[in-house]
Amino acid sequence: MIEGVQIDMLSGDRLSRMTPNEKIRHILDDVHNGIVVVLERGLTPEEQGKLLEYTMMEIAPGKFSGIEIETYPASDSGKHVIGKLFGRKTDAQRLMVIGPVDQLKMISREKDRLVGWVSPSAN
Amino acid sequence: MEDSTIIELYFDRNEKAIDETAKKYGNLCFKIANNILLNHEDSEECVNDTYMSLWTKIPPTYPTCFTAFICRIVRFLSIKKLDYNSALKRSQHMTILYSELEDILPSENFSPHHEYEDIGKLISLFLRKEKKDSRNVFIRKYYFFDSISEIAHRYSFSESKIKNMLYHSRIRLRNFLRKEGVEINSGGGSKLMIDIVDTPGVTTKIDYHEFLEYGMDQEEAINRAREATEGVAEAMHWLREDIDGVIYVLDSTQDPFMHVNIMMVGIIEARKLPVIIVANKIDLPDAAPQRIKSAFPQHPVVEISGLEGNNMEMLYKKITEVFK
Repeated sequence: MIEGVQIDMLSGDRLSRMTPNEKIRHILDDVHNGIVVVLERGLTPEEQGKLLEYTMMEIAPGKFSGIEIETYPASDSGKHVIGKLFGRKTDAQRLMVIGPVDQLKMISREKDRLVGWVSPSAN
Repeated sequence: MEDSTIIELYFDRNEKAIDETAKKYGNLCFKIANNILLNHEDSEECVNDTYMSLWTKIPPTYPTCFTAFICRIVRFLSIKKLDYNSALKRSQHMTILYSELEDILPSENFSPHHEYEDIGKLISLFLRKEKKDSRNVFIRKYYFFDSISEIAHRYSFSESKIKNMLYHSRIRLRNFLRKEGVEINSGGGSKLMIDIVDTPGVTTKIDYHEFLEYGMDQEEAINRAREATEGVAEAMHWLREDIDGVIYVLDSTQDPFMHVNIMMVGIIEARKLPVIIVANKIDLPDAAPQRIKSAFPQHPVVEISGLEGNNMEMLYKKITEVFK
């Protein structure tokens, strides 16, 4: 059997059929199981806030320390890069990577490139 | 001897007053001093200074509660002595005690007219509302600086129960203090009364091992980590439900483009809340507040040093402008 880290890539179509709570539950369940989740279309600011809130509530010392989350702008429309990041519409279009903090370490984040390091679970 | 009789001796300028005070309160005074100073000689010195102080204060003062009066003096003198000693070597014991409360108490940087006495009164008010057991444990820990094991022994509770009681008291104190109004004065006649929710730094991860580096034992570190997670979760909840404006404080020495900052500002903007970005720690040599300004050009950014108190007036002015 191949050993490694499972990556769960969710398409924009699939995400659009899920409610905010379903998305967050899906992500957190995956992350708890040591799975790295890649969302074709990132979460909205409200969903990100809820994800953070639920993550905090589920942190268990010695068992689960939280998440690593990263994203980058999906398109270049000529506006200021941060302006694009903050706009509601562009936020929902960004690819987003989420994983367990003890396994996923983002190394660099550029306008059009994310570099991360994933290690297998220690358990 | 009754307290009133001892006080009368002071009023009669009878030196027996000091002997009687030492007989009745000597052990208590030494214990308070030694809990703070952890040094036998320094503690004895503070106790003697306490007697001297009583001699000069009474008369004219007539203490309504002699025990509280003595405790306050010995505590004050011991902390003063500790400050002097700390100039040479900081006491880790006291640093940890204070750090337990510093996240809870209102920050003086955001409340220029919120005097320490006011905070003291608020804490007294809070303690009066606490159950007797919780109140006693809190006072033993943070006023008399008793150790957990001493408190557990005194009240016949387990040490873990005492830790748990203190943990929940700190949370209740934090929630209590949040509800109080803070007056912001811009200095130009503009005033604003606001309630402040002073949250821990927002993060997506909290590992209790980081708290171990501050000299805490594992259980204490786990409690602190739990407190931090609850603080962040609460902050996110408040942001979603019940906040009228945000002061988002960033460390000028760090990269402002970290995802958590992008996310937080995105959430604030989605909620259409007024926001002031504070570029803190500009006193440090590697501070780059300009990076923060260029990262968030759509929002007012105020550069400050919370430590040095630089540009605080500018921040208060901005608060009264943006949140009016």
